[in-house]
Amino acid sequence: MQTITSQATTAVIRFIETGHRYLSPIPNPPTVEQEKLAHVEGEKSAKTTRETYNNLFYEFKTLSFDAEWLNGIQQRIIASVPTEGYPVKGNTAWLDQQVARAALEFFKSTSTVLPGEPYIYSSGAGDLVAEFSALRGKMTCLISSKFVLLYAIAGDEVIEKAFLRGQVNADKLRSEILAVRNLLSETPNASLAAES
Amino acid sequence: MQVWLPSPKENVGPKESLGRRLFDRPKLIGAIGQKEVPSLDYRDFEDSGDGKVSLDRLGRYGPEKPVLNYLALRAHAAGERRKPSLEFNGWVSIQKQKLVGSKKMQIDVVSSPEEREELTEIEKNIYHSHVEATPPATLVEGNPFFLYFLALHLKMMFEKHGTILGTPPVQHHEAGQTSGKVDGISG
Repeated sequence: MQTITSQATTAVIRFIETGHRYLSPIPNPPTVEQEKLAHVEGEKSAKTTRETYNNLFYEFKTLSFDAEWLNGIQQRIIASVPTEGYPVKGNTAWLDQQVARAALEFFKSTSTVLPGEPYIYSSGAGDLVAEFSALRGKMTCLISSKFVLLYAIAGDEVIEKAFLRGQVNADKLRSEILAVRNLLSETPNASLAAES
Repeated sequence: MQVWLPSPKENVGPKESLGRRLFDRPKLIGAIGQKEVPSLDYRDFEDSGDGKVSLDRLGRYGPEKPVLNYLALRAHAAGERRKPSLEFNGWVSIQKQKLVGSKKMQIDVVSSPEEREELTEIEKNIYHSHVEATPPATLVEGNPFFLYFLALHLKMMFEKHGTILGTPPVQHHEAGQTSGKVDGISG
């Protein structure tokens, strides 16, 4: 009986993982109208192609146990990467591909412990800024290709954290962020707290 | 009340109103239409690379209209000089003693009028000041992320204690005004 249950569980997980790939709507790259909005002098070659867009999307595809907003964030990040040309320095309408990859990895590994869906934009230095709002405060994450900085204010308490890429594993990152999220929440989630 | 003309060596008073300029920033091309989180834009608090974050001195005890008029002309022009150009959207203002009062980060605001001869009249700013860490060198050397956290700290302080000021209409030809000077103020 246990074997049958185990096989069934495996089959369900496999269906979720593989089926999701086909059930998910194929995202759309930026429309012509969106491209026009970001078009500035000296950046005529920056655009996103459907092929690269889809490759990135499937590499970081969302699974059912990720946060429900992750898929949307992934689409926004991927659609902001020019695959021909480079963003002009200081033009924050586009994301550098390395920064986008770092951000996709970050959200993929932490979406379920973050306080909610972030509002994202590019900093003047080209890093990704993610703004979160929670019951007891706010959190801002700066994601570059080399580090992630976290700055949060929960009530009167200010929290600053810096994570160097390659020096912190996903579990450590998740537990650190979860601790901040619990401070930001009025009623910390007991089941998630147990995870740390 | 007489128009306020701070002398170059005058310290920034604790009750002074300080403003950080806000600009209309581009959104990510792939993220247009996303739900916004109520907060100031981090980009408005990034330093220009030298660790000195510029502020406008808006008034002695609160924003003063002649000072705002003088500064608005310069802020609009500064936005137009950026590449790509940015539209000036006003200030977020804060009282100095609230800005420097946090124990989390030791900072001060220093008067630093921009009056160098090589600047054009519209680039000069007798109300210019900047944020400095105290002491400046040790904090920067001890923390490679100091400038990022400084920007995040300022953003948080302005969000917590600041007030948004809309931009006054630009008046290029006021009575008695030439080359960007506001009547009664000689830059």
